[in-house]
Amino acid sequence: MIAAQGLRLPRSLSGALPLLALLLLWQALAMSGLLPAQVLVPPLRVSDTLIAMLRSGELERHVGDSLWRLAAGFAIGASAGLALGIVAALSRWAEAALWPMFLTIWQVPVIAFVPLLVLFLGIDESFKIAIVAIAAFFPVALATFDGIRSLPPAWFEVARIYRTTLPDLIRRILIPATVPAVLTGLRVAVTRAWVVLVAAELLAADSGIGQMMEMGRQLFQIDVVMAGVVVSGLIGFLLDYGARAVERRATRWKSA
Amino acid sequence: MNTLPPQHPLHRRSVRLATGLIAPALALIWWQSQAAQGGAHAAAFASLGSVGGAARELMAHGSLLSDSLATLRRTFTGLGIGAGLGLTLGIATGTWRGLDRLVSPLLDALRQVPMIGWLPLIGLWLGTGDASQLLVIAMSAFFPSLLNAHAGIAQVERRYLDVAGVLRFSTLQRFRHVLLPAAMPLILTGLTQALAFAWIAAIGTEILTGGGSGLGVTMQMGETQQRLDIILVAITITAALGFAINQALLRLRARLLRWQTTAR
Amino acid sequence: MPETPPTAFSNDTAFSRLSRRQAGVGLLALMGAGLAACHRQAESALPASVTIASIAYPYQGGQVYNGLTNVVIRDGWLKSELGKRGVGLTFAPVSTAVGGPQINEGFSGKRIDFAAYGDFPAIIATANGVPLKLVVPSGQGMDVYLVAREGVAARSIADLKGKRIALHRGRPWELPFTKLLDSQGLKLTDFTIVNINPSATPAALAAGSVDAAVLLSDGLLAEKNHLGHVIWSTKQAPPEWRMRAELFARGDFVEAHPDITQLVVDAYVRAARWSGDEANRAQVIHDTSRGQVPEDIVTKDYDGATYPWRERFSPGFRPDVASHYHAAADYALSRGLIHAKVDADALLDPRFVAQALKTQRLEGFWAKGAGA
Repeated sequence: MIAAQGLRLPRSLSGALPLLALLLLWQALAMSGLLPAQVLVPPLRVSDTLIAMLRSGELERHVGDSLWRLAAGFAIGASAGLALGIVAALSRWAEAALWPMFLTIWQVPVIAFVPLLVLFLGIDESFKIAIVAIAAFFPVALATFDGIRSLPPAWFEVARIYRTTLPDLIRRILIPATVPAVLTGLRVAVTRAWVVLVAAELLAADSGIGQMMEMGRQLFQIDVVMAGVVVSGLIGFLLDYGARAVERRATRWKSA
Repeated sequence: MNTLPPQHPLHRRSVRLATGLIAPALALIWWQSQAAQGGAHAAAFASLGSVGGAARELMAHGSLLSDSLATLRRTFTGLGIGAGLGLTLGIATGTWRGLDRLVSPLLDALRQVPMIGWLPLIGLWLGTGDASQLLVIAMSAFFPSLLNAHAGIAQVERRYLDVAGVLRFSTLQRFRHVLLPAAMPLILTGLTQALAFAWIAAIGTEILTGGGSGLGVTMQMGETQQRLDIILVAITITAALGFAINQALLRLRARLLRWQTTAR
Repeated sequence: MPETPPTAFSNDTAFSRLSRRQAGVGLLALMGAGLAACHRQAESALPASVTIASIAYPYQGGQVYNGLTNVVIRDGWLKSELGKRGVGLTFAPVSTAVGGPQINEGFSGKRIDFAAYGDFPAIIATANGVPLKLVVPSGQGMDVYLVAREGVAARSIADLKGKRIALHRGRPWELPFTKLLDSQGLKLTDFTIVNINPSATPAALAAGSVDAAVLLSDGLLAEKNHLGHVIWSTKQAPPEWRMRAELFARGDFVEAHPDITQLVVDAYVRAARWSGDEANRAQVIHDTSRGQVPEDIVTKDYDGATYPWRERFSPGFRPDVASHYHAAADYALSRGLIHAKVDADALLDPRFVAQALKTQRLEGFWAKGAGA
């Protein structure tokens, strides 16, 4: 199947085209009056709102609050996930003891923990950081576990033959071999954690992007809601893009 | 590392079972001790007795069953719609490059929009009832099925297609005997993800909109009424149901891929 | 590759081209005529169905309404009356958490024709270009409570100065709270206002994230659960401070279908008459408690009323109703909750209630003057 050699656009532009098409479609739909203007807010109006909120510093405040919660929660959750993944993958007893409970709790969507955590921790920062940590914990633990477990046993036998010490085993074999899987897990974790954070802020928070959207909805200012959607979507996209870039760099040595 | 020596105690099922129960047992003991301390702790930690009582209370009204059925119904209806569409579109874009070039970038852009952002618009189109929730669930299931079906078809090895060409397969035959089986592992991965996302979306929308019946609605109600025991019952049932569904899916996957000699 | 047989359209004769164009034009003309007919139809004929939205609570696996809507449903009179005219009746349940926004979105999309909800969301809708009409006021309003957390030594609002108070902005109970502040010479900025929704507020009290909260009867529930104690309520305040919830209608629906509107108003006035009967008091309290707060809390909420039981459901357009909406609209504008002025007089539409009272001979049943 030889694709027709049509106009070859540079990569970045061809990526932006569909977005542009979407915006135009949105604007056209809004202007057509098929749906009321209060709910299908035209993109120009949304951008006006965005600019106004940027000027007043309100947007900065909300984004800052959300991002710092994401960073703190992710640091905690990812480290815990790494630790559990490594321990359970390396020790059969640890796996037998901890993994069943881990898999059972994993069946519960993270969002379901919001009512529980609100009752426990109130609506302070600790609640939001906890929910982000939980959201980040599971994908990282799973990816780490799978990454280590999928290593060919032959490698460990070779290491044993060469009498490799544990620190060396970790440093020279485990880490380079599992980095790709772990990085993928970290990427999934950060994008999931962002979505969960915004949802949790919708439900029980007094600041942050999610809460900004919720308040906008309450006051029937759907332009604020859409502004929040645009910003949170953009941040989600940037997180994913950045994580993929890190992944690509770290696995440069892989020829395949 | 991956193979245990034959005499290792963990080979025996009973040993594995017992070891797996240690952590949960310890957690429950710690929990009960916190609840027994009384006072502020009793409010924060609902005692196991009260959790049992709440479970009985919910079962007596039949609300536990109707909640579970409602959430399951939403999940699978949304999954059916979303995964069905996603699979079809994914196979289509994987097979016909022209369609792929046209449709995929637009879908990619839509994928980045967080689900909650759609709720006001969807509420407008479909009203306040179940339909808007179903649409969000369907959308959550749509994207993983689409992406994985597309990848599944696109990565079918060239030589299989060549064999089909040599044997002069019609499009339908090529599809049934070559493309579909070769893409099946990824398609099933996509379905597994789609189910997980649909489950999450079902409970998430129930918590957010809090109307009707459903496990998420019960959790939200528990938060409003400050009844931790109700929340715990709902969470336990959610975990159990999720586990059961997962097991069923694993078994389905094993059956559909049983012709494969290599473990995937 | 097997050859595809020629199809009819591949023969591009002049005739086939002409037919296609003709067919296209004909189809467009038909569509245009159809649309025009529909448009005219919608303006004059009866609607296919009337939708009334109201807050509903999950209860025993189902959803229940309370208040007058519940009585209207149970009564069945409205359904049969509308059925006689070939008009269907649907009730749209919304949850209390996102009820206001959902109803406003429904009004905006013309999916909802009537809604029994609060004063603030109705003002917000009107200010944002979705004109509404207040067709059936409901009673004397609902009480608002200021709950101070257990362990916080505060006996009045002044004692809470500088502390954290949970208040969900843009909700109807913001107004009574602000009136309290004004009366004490305080401002919102004298406190740290924590903007969280009511379902998370009790947990915030329990965890100590906030020192006080402004709530409806769930404030009494919090007190019952030893999360705090009520230090002020609108029971100690002038009656027009209370928040209000009533039956609103879409402005254009009222204009297009005054007869249907009259039917709906008749039904709600009937329900108000039934609820106002002392004999039905226990039933009303039981219905109100379903899915929400326990019956003893409902009773406590209703206690200490300075007006007779029947006034609780009075559909009269008394002067205090008008002044309440003036105050609410002014407040919302001054606080930046809305950005356009709302004419409270245009919002109120007393014609239908007046007619209903006359038809049902209830003109003397409720007091005409200012509420107690």
